[in-house]
Amino acid sequence: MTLEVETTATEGPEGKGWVDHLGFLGPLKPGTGGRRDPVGEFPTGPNIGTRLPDIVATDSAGGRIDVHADRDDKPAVVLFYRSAVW
Amino acid sequence: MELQKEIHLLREAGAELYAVSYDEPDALADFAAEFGITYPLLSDPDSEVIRDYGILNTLVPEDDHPWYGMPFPGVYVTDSAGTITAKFFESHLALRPTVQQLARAVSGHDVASELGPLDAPPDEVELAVTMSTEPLAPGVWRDVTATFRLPAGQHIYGEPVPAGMVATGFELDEGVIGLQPSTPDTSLHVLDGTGEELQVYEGGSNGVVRIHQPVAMSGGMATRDAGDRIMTISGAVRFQACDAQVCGIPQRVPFSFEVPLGRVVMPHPAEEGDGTMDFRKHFAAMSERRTT
Repeated sequence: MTLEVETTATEGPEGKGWVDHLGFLGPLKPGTGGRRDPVGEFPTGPNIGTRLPDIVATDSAGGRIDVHADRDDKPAVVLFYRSAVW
Repeated sequence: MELQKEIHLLREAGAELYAVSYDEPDALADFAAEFGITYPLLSDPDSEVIRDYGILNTLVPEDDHPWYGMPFPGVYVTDSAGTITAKFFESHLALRPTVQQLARAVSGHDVASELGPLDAPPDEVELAVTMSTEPLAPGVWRDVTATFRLPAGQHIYGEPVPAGMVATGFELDEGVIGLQPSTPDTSLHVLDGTGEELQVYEGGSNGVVRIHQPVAMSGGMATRDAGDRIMTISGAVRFQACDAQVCGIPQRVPFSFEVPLGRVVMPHPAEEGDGTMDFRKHFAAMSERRTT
């Protein structure tokens, strides 16, 4: 799989920000910073049908959470997102 | 934030929600407090979990801070045994699945709409097209739902259809982008005369066929009408209903929803909440952690 970054960009209205190939306006130019969208195939992690890999991490309250233990035999929805800060 | 607003759909489906990012725990604590987040925000500041999952975004140069360490974002849904049953990953990193899609993936059916007792089947196909008109930010997917009630003995078509026939589906107007629609299973019909095979939706025991079309507003819609914060999500539903002998003429039913715009620029939490989270401080801390 050859990874390639999407760099299609046009200047935003009044020269502020950058518009990407789907028309989304943002302060960063596509292909820079957190705006690194892949073109074509990209890795998406473990496959359907496999066990969700363990996640043991600190939560926002400072506690240690083990997702498989914490979900207590309930289905889990696990979101990986870029940042709450930017 | 959109997830938080509709989290009850996931809880009603019986699922637990978790979110993972490479933010520091204290930044996540501020974020959770500012936006009233009631599900765990897990901190992976060295991207160990992200790497373990194999979704580190390697398009970011290793010395480009604080960006290096972020994932290709997406969502995994598991069953009660912890086995992955669905994944949602988009190459446009700001796009996310609808909460309704996630709830359906958890429970395998429509959570928000259990149909009440049904009347006798209608004489002609009835179609209702619905969509929530709560504020919608560019980049957030939401379903437009087509609910068909089919007369007894009639069906509508799934793909592929022979030339001249119309499959059931959505057309979307400019500025509205769509994901793959979620559709019920089709049944195979073989035409007596020609032996031609058709994939049809019959609507099960109650003649109801429901198709969900996830849509999002392209940022272009928002920037063109920046002063007018009500956007139009519009298009049409196409279908053709037939019984065993006769086909009706293809139908095209337009729809249009006025939806308030959530935000004009790419999602940034600074515009909502009570304004006490110091984003600059946390951003500086993330950068410093990685450069010292």
